[in-house]
Amino acid sequence: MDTVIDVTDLTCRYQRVEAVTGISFAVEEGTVFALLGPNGAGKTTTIRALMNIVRPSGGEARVLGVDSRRLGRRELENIGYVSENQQLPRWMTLAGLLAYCRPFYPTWDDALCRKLVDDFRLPLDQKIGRMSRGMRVKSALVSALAYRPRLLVLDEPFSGLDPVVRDDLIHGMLERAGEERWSVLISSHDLEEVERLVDAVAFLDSGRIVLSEPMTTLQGRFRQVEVTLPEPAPAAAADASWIRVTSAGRVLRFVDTSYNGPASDQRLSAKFPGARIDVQAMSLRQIFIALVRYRREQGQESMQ
Amino acid sequence: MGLPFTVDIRPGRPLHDQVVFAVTKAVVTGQLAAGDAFPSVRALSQELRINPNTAQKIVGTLIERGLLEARPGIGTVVAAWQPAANPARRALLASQIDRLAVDARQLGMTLSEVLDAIRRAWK
Amino acid sequence: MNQTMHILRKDVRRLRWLLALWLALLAGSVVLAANAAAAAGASPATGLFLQQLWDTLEIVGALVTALIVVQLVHEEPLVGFTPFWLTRPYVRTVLLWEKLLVVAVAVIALPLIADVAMMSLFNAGPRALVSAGVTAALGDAVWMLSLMVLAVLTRSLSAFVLTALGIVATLWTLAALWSGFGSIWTGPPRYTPPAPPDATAVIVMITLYLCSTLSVVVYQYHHRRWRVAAGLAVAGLAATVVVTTFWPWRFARSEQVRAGAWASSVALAHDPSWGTKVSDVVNVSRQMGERWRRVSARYIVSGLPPQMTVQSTGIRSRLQFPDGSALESGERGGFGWNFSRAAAEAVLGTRLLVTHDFDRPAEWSSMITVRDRELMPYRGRSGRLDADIDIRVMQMREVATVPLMPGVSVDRGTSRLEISAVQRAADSLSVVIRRWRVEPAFAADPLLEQYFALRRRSSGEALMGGVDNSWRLGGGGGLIPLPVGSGGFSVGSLYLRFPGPGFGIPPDIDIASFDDAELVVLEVAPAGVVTRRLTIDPFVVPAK
Repeated sequence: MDTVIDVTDLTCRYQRVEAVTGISFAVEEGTVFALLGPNGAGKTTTIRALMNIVRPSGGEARVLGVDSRRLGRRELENIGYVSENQQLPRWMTLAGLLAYCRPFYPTWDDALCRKLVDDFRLPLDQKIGRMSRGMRVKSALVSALAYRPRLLVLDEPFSGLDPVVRDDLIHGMLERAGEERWSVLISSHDLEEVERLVDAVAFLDSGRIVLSEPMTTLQGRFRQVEVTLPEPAPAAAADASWIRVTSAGRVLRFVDTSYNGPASDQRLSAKFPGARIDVQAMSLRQIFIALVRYRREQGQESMQ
Repeated sequence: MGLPFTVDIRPGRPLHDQVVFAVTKAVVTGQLAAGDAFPSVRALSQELRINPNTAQKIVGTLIERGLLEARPGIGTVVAAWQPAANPARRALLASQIDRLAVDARQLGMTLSEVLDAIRRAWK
Repeated sequence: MNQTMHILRKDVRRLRWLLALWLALLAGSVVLAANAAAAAGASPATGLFLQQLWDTLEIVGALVTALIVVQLVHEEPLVGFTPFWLTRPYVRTVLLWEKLLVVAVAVIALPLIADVAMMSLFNAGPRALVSAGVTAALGDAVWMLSLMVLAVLTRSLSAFVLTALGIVATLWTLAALWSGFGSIWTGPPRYTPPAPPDATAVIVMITLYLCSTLSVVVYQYHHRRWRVAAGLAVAGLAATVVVTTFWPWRFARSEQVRAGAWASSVALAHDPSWGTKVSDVVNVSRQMGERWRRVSARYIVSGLPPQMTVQSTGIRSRLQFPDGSALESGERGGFGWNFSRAAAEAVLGTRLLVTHDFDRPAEWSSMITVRDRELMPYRGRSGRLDADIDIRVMQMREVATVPLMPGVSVDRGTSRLEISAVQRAADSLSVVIRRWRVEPAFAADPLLEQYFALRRRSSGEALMGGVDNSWRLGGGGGLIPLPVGSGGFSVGSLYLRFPGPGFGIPPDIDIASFDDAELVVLEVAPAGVVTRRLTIDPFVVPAK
């Protein structure tokens, strides 16, 4: 399968806010990829580097087969970008904005555009400067979806929006689900929404990639384990793959990051004979929190 | 719009398994009858707000298990389903029944209470 | 799709009110000029009002064009992470040319058309049109590109205004410091022999400035790195100044007027009894740094033809002492009036009825200008002074003679005078003259001063006219040389009164007898430089 985004050892420095150091990940065509991480981890910087809004100081980012620094008309005709940070022209009406964007894109689909405007219940004649935040994001999404881009890039699209608007956005985002050559890169804090949407995730913390893998393997290998020992015992020698190890009375809790089914079950039973072992799958949110807290414990301070 | 079967997604179990279970239940209980049109991958994805590849896998699994049929030109339809003979899955079910028994006893349920619960779910 | 036209339509729609206002201002200025034509004979008050209206229009116009340029560029800002257009399929080159096109049309082409319209109202000839057009276009281009440079380095109007104010404040402070401190160290300016009028520096500077600003704009559109672009701008400015200062090849030199055969009779005379005296050079240095002293002597320039006057002198001198040491210096001095009664009488060929002579008495000129501490050792001593004195001579000449009637005009290609009214009163005669002129594009010479006389040949008498009032539209100048405005073209009126009070009125003049006199226009022009050596031996440096 082709990769629509290929990041190799990317480093981005700028004076004040985020920095990104030597990150690598790839987004396969036809998948939904999430970029996750705490505030200030470097998600927005990475996305800006991909869109050539910011120039990388090292490494390479290839988007639709082209170096991000050389993103030109042909590539941008196939990329849709929505960001909480982007400012649409406030003086234009929505109709004006769509009419203005239309000639830039040979694949613009008027019928799709009208359908999206209807689905989102957007007022065509209202000036963008007077719209609420949710309407503005929806307008941006319409203006990014109407030409059926091969790659949709969403930078914190849900931030600050109420659940109904979020739901609308996801519905719009999935408008072309299952179609040929359709890929999405999304960065977000809304892990409940994201969990159901993504094929693969990359996790950023303090400008570095902590992990980058498909959701199936991620949710496959993380387990919340609770061991109730027959007698209170000091924390047994933990496996290297266990994190967030705590003990309270007779209960030992930890997160196993390389669980692999029956083999792991057996190892646990062998290690804690006679104990009651409870193994639970973890939601994306639970995995996220465990990882971040673990890294804080280990002294990985964020740049902020 | 909506989907022609009941599904309630909860955190904890993989999404794929939950939806497959829901469709299986709908077929078994008759909510989905043989010959009914099944939603496209896109519709499934949009209605459930889930990743389209996951939706694709779900449909694939259901077809593999004989619950759905792909008809060229028409789409996916509910298959004329027959109880499948599948020893491996039966063995898995057996272990699940074991666990059920153990857990129920630990909670202090009586056999008749358990049987009542099973009867209710069977409908 | 034609991206240029698509973006252009959007920009024009966005800026439509500003563009409409600008068009209205331009139309207004043409109407105002048309009124000036009609109001040529009206009262000075009306004229001054028109002039103030014009000046206001110019300032408002400058603001409006600034807003147009800045807002146009900020439609697609080149600074920051949030502009909407960055992720849309714009072609950078197309965007750049579209912006340049709109600004060029709005800020250069449209005013040019207005200028041409205005000048044709006054029957200006092709020479004047071209000259004014070139000046206007260059001035507008400088203005437009300066604005664009700042606009491509900022992201909003407020940022632009703050940056512009900051730059103006910095430059002003630097200039004040430079001139303030400059005089501390260098003392009075040292005299150098006159060079022929030369427009090379201006041409080189404008060309370099336009090139460097344009390259900053082009760079920023292609690379969007404002720090580098700002560095380029500063470097470009520095390069412009440096290269202009050290440019060796003078290609726009105009011919220097050479003194004619009359120069051979010019001589300098010095009377030893006049002696020498010492004085202070009054300037900043006296308060803050060293003291500078002047040792002056008197001399007379003789042998000049009557229509010539001395405008200024430049003295390069060397005072040699018997023991071999010497003092050297050079300074300009001897500034005089352009007008002299003798010159006017010589040119007019008649007696001039004025009471002031405007003669220059022999005056004290600084021979040696040095620091006080350099002078100290020589106090009370005497030596031999050899001074080469460059005498800049001005010549008065008659430009035109016309009968004193309304409607009569003098046309000189890039200027035109027309008598628009003649009014007779009991003891004076008023003449209203409408005048337009174009200052040439790279004028090395300032405009020549004009004088007006009424001459009655039958009685061999003439009167000088004084300018009671004048007003004009355009012509630049003022406090801030605004580049927006018709390049050097000005139209206005002069209100002359004969006899002019500034020349001194003799008691018994019969003004009525000048009814049939003719109006003579006089001009004072450079006639060349004559250099003579003056030797004063002994030259005593006063002890006190």
